[in-house]
Amino acid sequence: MRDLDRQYGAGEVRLRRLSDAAGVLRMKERRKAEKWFEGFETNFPQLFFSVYYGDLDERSNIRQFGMWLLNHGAYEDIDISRPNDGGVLLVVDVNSKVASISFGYLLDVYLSEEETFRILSNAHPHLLQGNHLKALGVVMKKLTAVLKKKSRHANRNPEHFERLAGVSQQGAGEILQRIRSGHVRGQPDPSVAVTNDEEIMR
Amino acid sequence: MRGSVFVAVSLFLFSAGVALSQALPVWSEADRARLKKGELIAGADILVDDPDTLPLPRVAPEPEVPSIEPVEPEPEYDPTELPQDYLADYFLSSPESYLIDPQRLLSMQESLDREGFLEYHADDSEVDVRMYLFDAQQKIPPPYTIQKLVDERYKGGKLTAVVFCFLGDPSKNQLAFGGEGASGITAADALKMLESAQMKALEKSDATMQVESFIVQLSIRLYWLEKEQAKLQAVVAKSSSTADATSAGAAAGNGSNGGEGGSSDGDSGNASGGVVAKVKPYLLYALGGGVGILLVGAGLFLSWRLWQRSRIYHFPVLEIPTRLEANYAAGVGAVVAFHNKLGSPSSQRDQVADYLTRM
Repeated sequence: MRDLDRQYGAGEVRLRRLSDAAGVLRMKERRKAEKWFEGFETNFPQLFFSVYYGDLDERSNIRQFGMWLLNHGAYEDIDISRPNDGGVLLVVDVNSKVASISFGYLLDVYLSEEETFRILSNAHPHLLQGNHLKALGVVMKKLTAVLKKKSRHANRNPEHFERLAGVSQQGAGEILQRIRSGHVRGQPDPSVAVTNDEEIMR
Repeated sequence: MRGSVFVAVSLFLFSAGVALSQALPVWSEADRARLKKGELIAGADILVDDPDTLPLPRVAPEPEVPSIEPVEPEPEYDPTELPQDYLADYFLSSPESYLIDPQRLLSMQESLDREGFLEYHADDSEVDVRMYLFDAQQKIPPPYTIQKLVDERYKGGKLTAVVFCFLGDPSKNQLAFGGEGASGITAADALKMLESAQMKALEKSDATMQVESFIVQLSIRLYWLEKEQAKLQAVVAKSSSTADATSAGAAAGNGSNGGEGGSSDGDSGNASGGVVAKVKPYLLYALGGGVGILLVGAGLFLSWRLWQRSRIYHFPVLEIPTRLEANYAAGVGAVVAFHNKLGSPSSQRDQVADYLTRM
């Protein structure tokens, strides 16, 4: 993260749920998207959805940028009762034509990379056509469906997700330990560990 | 030497003798005069056995040149004109066949096919179809019209649909009904029928196929017309029988208590009338009930949709330790590229290293 801070900045970034830096949406489409966001927040009081349409430079990695933005974003139009832990950020780079989804810690055990891939895959045809509003609509619809299902499941059987969180935490630790030991034979070196953490990000 | 001289002399004498004996003939004065007159032909005695029988040369008289009579120029062909020769066949006689084509616009086989279909239709239907075939650009010469033809030739006969069919231009086709029951077919019905058949015909590009489509569609429309008329007649018959039965019942009631009066039809009519009369007050309620059920169903569905929309979903908050020094988010989501139409999402799977996937 420190590496990303050096690249993008360490301070907070003021932005809105709909940040259309690339100007791909019309005014009418923006209003429609705002309504969708409100609907999402009605259904999920702990969460919020945001989208960033931008033009990233060639050095930027969209996944890293998404994660950095969600950690540094100070959303003007989101109540403080919804911290960024419950945020889902869709980043669309209109220059390199790549889209990515990042999400906060709250959803860490409820969303997987596979599920976000499926969600983005559904929006792929609309992204190809440059119909960003429709792509956004599809992403939100599919994400809402997945989250509703996960919420019902989590409320019925919270132990499953608790176990998953424990395993995840433990598993990540083990993996990190393995990577560390892979890089530095013998005793683990904390500085190397940080490097590997950053490597994971890439 | 002497011998040779002798031979030469004797040869000379012999040839001189021959020359003298073969001297050229000389014309006598009389022959010369005859020759000049043309009565004598030189050498004729060689060709003819008897020169006296030699026929005189005959001079053939020059043939008389026949005088050329002035030919009246044929009138220019006018495709819009219906030849006079066919007018009688079209308009002044009652045809025996269903296809009237005196100009032979259709080939023999096509004529047989169309005629066959019209005969089949006539066997199967109460309404005959008589099809008069004209060329695309021909015009019906006044005073002949389809209505006049119908009035003159088909009035009082079997109900007949008379069609003026213009080969290659179905939009000009005309239709009129004649015969018994023709007045029951409204002009609007006839127009609908004609338009429907014309539309079907116009779907085809070939002229003969257009004729076929037109006939087939007309036949279908006539079938439905017959059905409707039959239904109408049945309703009329039923209502009249009900009215008769009612009047008969009333007459019986008004009469001298003749309790056995009235036919069985009258009874059944009364019974059905009674059922209708009993049900009628409830029909409105039934209708209202049905509409009410529908409204309730729609309302329930809408409520369910609204409830679904406003339904709140919570997630149990789990203690997730921060990773990578990120305060809020370290969730590794997917990335999908859309710069290339050929790069389908499925080809972009497995983009995250294994060690990043949750275990």
